[in-house]
Amino acid sequence: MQVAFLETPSLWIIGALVAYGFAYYVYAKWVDEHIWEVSEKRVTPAHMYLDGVEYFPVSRYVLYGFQFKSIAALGPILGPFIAVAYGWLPALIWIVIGNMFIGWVQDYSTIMLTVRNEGRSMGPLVYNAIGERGRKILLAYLLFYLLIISAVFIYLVSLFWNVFPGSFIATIGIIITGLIVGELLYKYKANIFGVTALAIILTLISVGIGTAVAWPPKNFFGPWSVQVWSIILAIILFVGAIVPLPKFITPMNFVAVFPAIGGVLLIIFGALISPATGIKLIQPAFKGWYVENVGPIFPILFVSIACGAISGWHSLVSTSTTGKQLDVETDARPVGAGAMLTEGLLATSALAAYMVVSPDLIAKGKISAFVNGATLLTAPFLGGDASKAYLLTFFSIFLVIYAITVQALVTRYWRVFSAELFRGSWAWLGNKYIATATGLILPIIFALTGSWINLWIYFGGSNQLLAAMALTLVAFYVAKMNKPSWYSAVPAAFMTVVTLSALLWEIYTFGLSTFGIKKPLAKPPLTQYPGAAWALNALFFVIGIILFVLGIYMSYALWNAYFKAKRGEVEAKAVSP
Amino acid sequence: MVGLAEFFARKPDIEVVVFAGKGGLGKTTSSAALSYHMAVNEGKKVLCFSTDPQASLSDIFERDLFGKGVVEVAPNLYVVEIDADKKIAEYQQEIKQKILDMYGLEELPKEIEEYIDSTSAEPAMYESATYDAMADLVASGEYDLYVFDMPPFGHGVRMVAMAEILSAWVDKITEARKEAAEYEAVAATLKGGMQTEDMVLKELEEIRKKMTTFTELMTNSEKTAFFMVMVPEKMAILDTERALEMFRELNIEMSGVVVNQIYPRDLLNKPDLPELLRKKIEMQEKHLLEIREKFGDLVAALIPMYDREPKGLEMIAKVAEDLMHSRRDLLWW
Amino acid sequence: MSDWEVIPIPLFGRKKKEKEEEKKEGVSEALKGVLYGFAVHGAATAALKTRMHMEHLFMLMTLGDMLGFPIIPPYYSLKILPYVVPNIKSWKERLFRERDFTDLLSG
Ligand SMILES: Nc1ncnc2c1ncn2[C@@H]1O[C@H](COP(=O)(O)OP(=O)(O)OP(=O)(O)O)[C@@H](O)[C@H]1O
Ligand SMILES: [Mg+2]
Repeated sequence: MQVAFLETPSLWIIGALVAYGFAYYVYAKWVDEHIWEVSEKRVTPAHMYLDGVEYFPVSRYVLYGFQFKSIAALGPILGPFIAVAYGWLPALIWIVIGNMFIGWVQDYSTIMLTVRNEGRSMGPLVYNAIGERGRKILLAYLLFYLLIISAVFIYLVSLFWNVFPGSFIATIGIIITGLIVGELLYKYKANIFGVTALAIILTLISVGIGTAVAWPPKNFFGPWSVQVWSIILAIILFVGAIVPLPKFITPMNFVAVFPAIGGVLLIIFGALISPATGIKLIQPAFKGWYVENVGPIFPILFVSIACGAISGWHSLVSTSTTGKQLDVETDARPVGAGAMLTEGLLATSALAAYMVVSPDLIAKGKISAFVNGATLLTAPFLGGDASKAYLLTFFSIFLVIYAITVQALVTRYWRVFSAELFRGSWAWLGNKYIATATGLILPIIFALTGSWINLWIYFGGSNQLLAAMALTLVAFYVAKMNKPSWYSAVPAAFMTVVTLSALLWEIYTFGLSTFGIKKPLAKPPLTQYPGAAWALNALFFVIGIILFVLGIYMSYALWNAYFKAKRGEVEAKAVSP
Repeated sequence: MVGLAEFFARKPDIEVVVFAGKGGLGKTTSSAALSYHMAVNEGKKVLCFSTDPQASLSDIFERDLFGKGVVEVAPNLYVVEIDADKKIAEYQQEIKQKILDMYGLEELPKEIEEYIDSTSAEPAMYESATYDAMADLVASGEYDLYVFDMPPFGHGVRMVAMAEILSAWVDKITEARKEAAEYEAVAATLKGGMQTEDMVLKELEEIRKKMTTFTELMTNSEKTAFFMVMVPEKMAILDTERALEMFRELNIEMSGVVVNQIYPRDLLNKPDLPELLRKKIEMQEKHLLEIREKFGDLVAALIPMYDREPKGLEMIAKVAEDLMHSRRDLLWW
Repeated sequence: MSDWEVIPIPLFGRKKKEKEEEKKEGVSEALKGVLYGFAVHGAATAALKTRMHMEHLFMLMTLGDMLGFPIIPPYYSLKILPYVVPNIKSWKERLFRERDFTDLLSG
């Protein structure tokens, strides 16, 4: 069946590709050459401080792969799901514009910041701009940020397990595959190519078993099924966090890579050939300025698609690892900008998956929409109807292991940050086991309301606010170099306004329920316990205020530093914190 | 019946004998005597070892043994008196050379050189070098009996305490190193690279093996005997009590106490005995009673005070006789 | 410090990769690199970092008296010294380098 080209997602994907190409080959190149004036000759920290552990030069290809893997999480996949509630066109515009003028700017520039500042990571960079208090507040802010990410991811994985029968069994299959792979690689020193092949085969078999068994059914544990699943997940994550990395997390990540790459490639391919397969765009391009239970298009759209357009998380990756391993300055663009624009492509293809499912699914807030859309796009060239059941499990697993691998990392970060933050008589909170447990229990409590969209907006808001801070920081350093800083300052200003507004909106939303003006936001079964629902809403209200206050402080301090730098008032601070 | 002969009859498997105790009370004299007896009278191949910088073995055997390596002073009786300072200097030089060779360097980095040189100033260096030399000798298994004349620092039991601490440390280090090696292997496997053999781990395991075998030997009361040498004086009694306490804490069986420099009782019958000496003997009597009360069965041998310093093989033979079969007239109880 | 530069061995006897060789590009090389970066680089870095922490501990235990914390008798420290000579420089550097919580993010 042939359908008109324009009725399919294909054109839009191609359009986005062109836009990203422009961003990479024209805009980023200009910034690279005229603002940072990168040079192959300037010695990078990777060479300056070569220690073979933290600092060592890594080829740009490897670094690109690493950067992409570290920044691509559920954000670009699930974000568009919320955004598409306003229609796919606003979502597409934001993804494309965000990527072109904001996303890569941050990722690339923060790498350059580290490269030009002796390999310093985010904390010391902030310290040099606004001092010790700023650094401390950043740490506190990040702790909240990690809790919220955890709440979202733990909840979503539990939801997936509950909604897609067999996905849990497939997940266990993949975890077992990870354990086998770990043993083979590290204990028996097996050949890596053979192990890779085995990992892929076992993963596909796991998905097959999950599909065939299709058990346990939805709501297997009764009304609290999602919560029971989250406890099971927490136990798995706890074990993963306390056993040595090579025993669990590392092989698990290794195994997760293949379905992750495979899934993305399949969806993009499916979207591109949609004119041939006849998969049609059936979502409306525009649905409205305001969506019930989500909020007004401004600012919510800009925080709902977080990682797919711009994400503060990336600045942490860029400054903590990538910047320290950059071989030559000229690699910063392919690595930083290249990885971000690739992620933009991932977000665009996820959007394509939502474009082809029924508006009904989106309106009902059915998280299965992505899985359905991805299956729709890919089934036609992968065996048609016969393979649909298999593909459904595959794409649900795709989501689950993306979330689990990122969550495992987040849990570790939480532990590391806790150990850093809690000192003296609070030190017990930084204890390995206690910190890991709190980093899992608090998010489960957070997620009890089941209103994951609100949590997601908090996540997006704090994530984007982190991006705003990173962009302001970049503007500060660029201004200090006496170079045009608008390319980072303008996006920084936009992001600051958007994210603070989004946080305010959520504070307002939870404020309404906290002060009894509206019913508390909650999903069944929590709705039967209005007291608990209210308490959680009040908690979110408070968390929102905390995030907002911390955010305001950081923004004020950073902007202040920026304007001072622009007026040439910044003296060279002590070099090291 | 008092005398070490009885002890050795009870424990025929003893391979190591250590004489410990405060300075100047007769450790060297007892070591020489026991070694002489075992070698000459019993025909065992004996090594008598000391690191005393005062060269007291040279003194007692009336031969220059200091820093001369193993010397046979009588049939089957081998003596080695180590020049610890020289040994340490040689060892440091050896390490320096090893670094130069390993990395093909012309000269050592200044900091490394300074570090290596600084170690000789440490008392712990002296102690551990002694200890290591002992462990090496025992590991060689060339002799039937090893007699260690402990240097006068501390009580000599420090050595065992150190061995325990040290092997605990080496255990920990080895463990950390092994775990590290595992991660190294992970990184190497992931990179598809080759893994180099961990020489440090090998070295550590060697040190540990040496230590555990030695510590095991030293704490095995069937194979190793510890004797405290004392004299009938208040200070010596207190010291010995403290040493006993330490032994108990370390879970080591103290084999016995050798009481040295006892004035024979019949001296009191001499009419022309100077008053001072008479007083001294009476004091000794009091202390010996206290020794009996406090140490009882632990008293393994009694050596009289000789009219001259016991030096030379002939005198040593005499001391050996008294050490193995103590004179009855020294028994004050 | 400068006389340390004479020791040409990076940490843990890792083989120094030939820079020129690496520069030779090809599609398959690039693809392999990207895949490696995607699948393994993070894990390898994390493993190296854990390794580094243990190395710290180890160096502290063996060569602690270099910094004024004598832990094992110097006689045995010296035995191990030759093997860790190349690591001492980076060990001290890392030990005295100010670390921030955001540095801990990788691995
Ligand atoms: N029973 C004895 N009668 C007479 N002189 C003795 C007797 N025992 C030891 N001496 C003398 O006392 C001095 C100390 O003895 P010895 O060297 O055996 O003691 P030590 O415990 O080894 O001393 P250091 O701790 O200094 O090594 C020596 O001059 C020795 O000849
Ligand atoms: Mg002596």
